[in-house]
Amino acid sequence: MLVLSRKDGEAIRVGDEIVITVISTSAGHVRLGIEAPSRVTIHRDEIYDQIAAANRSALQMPALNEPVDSEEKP
Amino acid sequence: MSPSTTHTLEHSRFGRVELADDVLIHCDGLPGFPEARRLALLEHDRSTWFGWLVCLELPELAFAVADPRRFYSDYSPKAHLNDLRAIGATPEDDLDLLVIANITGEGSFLNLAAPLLVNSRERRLIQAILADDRWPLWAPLDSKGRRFDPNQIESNPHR
Repeated sequence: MLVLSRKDGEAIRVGDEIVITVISTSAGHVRLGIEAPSRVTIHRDEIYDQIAAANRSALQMPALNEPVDSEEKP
Repeated sequence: MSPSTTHTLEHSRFGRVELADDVLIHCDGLPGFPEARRLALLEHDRSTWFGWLVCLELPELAFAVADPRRFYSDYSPKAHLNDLRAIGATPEDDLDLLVIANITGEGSFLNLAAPLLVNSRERRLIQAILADDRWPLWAPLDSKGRRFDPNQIESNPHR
């Protein structure tokens, strides 16, 4: 992992098209501004991880592993 | 590929499923499953509330999916323009909307935070991560007093 120090108002550039600017910092809190092409999707990492975990969990359905029964549609 | 090409999915639970090219829905990965490219929706044999989403690249994958408005009639997710573009759609297009169901020992839930948007014209799908936090990742399925019986989603989807 590349580690850089930046001050308020300073930025980093990722490739030709993405600029991430430190808007402000306070105790344990960083506010970032991100400029990127519209085709680039940007998500808070933990939100994406939660969706991925929920998707993996959705495959763990116990009902799928049980034998087929002969009930009719509700 | 000719339109008549058929793909065989050897599903670990459902057995052999034949999928014609024209039923495939394309995506560019799903969160947690970046390999997913070619999906198909299968009808459920006994439940009209649910279908199965299967994937040619991941034969072990089978999501129970549902029309969220059967359970949450006011569900109105606002998809990001990027997500619409990814499936060749615009805000004016009428998209199909599905969500993934999570059936657990503690209850049954719908993922309303990341709906599946389907552009049926282009046969493209994206799992859109909504920007607002109005819709929960674990929305209980029995919120409308309609209790859900997990037994109704077991069994072979493909007879």
